[in-house]
Amino acid sequence: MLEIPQPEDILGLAIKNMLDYRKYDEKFNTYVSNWSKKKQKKIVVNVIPFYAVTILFDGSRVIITRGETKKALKVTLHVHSMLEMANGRLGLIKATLTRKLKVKGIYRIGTILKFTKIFFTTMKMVAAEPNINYYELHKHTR
Amino acid sequence: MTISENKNIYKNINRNDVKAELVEIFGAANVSDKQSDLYPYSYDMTEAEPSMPNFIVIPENKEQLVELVKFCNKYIIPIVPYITGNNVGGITVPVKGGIIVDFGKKMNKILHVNENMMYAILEPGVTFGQFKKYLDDNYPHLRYSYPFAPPSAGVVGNALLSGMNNLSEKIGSMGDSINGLEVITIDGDVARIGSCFYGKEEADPDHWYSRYPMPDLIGLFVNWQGMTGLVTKCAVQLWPKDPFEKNMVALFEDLSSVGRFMREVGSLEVLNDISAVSIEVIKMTIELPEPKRFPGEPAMIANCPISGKTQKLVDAKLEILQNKVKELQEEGMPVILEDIDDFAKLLNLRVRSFLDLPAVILSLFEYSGLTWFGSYAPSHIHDELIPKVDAIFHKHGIPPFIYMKNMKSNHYGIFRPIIRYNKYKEGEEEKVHALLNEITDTCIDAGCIPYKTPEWMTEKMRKKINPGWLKLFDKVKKMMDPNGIFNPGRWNT
Repeated sequence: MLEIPQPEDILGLAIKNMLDYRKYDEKFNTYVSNWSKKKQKKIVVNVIPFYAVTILFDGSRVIITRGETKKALKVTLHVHSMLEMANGRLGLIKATLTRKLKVKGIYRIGTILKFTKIFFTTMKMVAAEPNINYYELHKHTR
Repeated sequence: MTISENKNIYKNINRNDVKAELVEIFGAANVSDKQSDLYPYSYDMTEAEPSMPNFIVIPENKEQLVELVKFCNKYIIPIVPYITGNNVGGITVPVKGGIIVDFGKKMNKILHVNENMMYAILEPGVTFGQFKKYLDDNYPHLRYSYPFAPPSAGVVGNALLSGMNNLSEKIGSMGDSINGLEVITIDGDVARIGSCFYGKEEADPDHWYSRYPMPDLIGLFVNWQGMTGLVTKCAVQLWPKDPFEKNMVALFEDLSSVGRFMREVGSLEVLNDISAVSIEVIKMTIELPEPKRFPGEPAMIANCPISGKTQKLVDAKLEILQNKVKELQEEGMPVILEDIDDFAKLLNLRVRSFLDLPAVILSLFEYSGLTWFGSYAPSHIHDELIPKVDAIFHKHGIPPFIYMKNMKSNHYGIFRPIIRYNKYKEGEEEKVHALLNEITDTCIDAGCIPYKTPEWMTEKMRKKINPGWLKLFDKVKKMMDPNGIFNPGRWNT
């Protein structure tokens, strides 16, 4: 199971919320541990117009910190595009072709695809079925 | 917190005789003077000084209360109305002792709903959770308007104190939603006020439809914090429940544009409500109890709910809102508008507790203590107050919690800095009070008018209020309650 310490910034909290959704998912754990074996363990997600966070894959730990790191794969997108992609209204290919999603850094296409499975697929899964028991917890009081 | 001493209310009658009379009126099972029973009524969530009542009584009907008022007025014994204890400002703390009338236990019935003219007649103890469930189960096409409060808070108390709601852009303050009242005045008379005033004994339940055109005596009881009589029934307006909804959220990169955004968007008349909170409040809601704001994060967010009879109507309202936001963005305003559900799903669904009112909102009830400067405000001063009050919070080392609204198509604003704290931690109440005091001075100087006020706050207000108003206020209070038995101490009476 993945361990994801709680960040204190709003974007970090959103990314933790997404990754937490799959922390018991074996397939997802495999993606993350495979990613961790790579030289490039860090990914910067820069959300315009706000700020960037760095995601470090370190074995079974995923550490999310504010700010950018050099020598990392950097993904830049507007918060609106992020929400559009999560909710299936903007596809990955279209986002890339229209420059709504920009990827920079030393990477291979395989790396991008693996990160897609970790990040964008999870984002879509959370948006499609966001069950964190909120409604269950509140059904008697709402 | 400690148990405070019981006050001496026995100048004109001895304790045993008071108890015997209360037992006679309410029955032994509904009267208590045990310290352990009295203690929960001696304090509220705020830093208000605790004060023990001498008795609590649990009424079942107005006839009992008529007897109580006559008895207490004769022997000059304070009466303090109490509903569910979700109070701020110490407004149900019996500062001069006396008898707590707990309406929440038995006088909590929804007496009538008129579907045609859309109102409900309620006893004082009805809670928001109870009322919402009742309407959802029995009148799913109707809704009430719910405040940023838990389901256990009282509906009538909220209306009588001009509280907020989530239709504020459309209907304004909850005080405006009162159609009629039944009240017991100081000599034990039962007065029905509003269109329900026809009828010698009981009013026709289908005649509680308006507070006009007769002289509007409801004002003698609204915002008086129980100082003028005991309300035993209240008719409140209901609204059609729109089947189509869309909830948008505005994210602000800085604090200075929030006030203008709310005014511009509020006056479009397409929103049900507009309320903004500091980003710290969102973090508190998702389990970061002592949050910080970091560079680059949105500084505040505003909730902009839309509804309509058809999807097309909702889409048209959304288009008006989006066009206005685009116009503001083109002028350089750093604001982003998104669907709140999209936002909440990725961040944390608890954010939806701001929409699904009434709700247990973690940011409000996480700690044992909560205090505030809840105020009505001219909406143009929000621009100046938001950064100023945010800085005061930081100066005192407490995370900013600003909650604000624009009301009734932007006719006025609401500005509410809120402070959560641990009541049981040494020195915490003093620290919190110092912060609240500075916020109070700043906001009153800017023109804010606090509501649900503690006495020390009304004392500050009295220095600014025109003497003519104060004289009239005192005359009305004297006329309504010459012996000062109704919730004494409020507004420094």
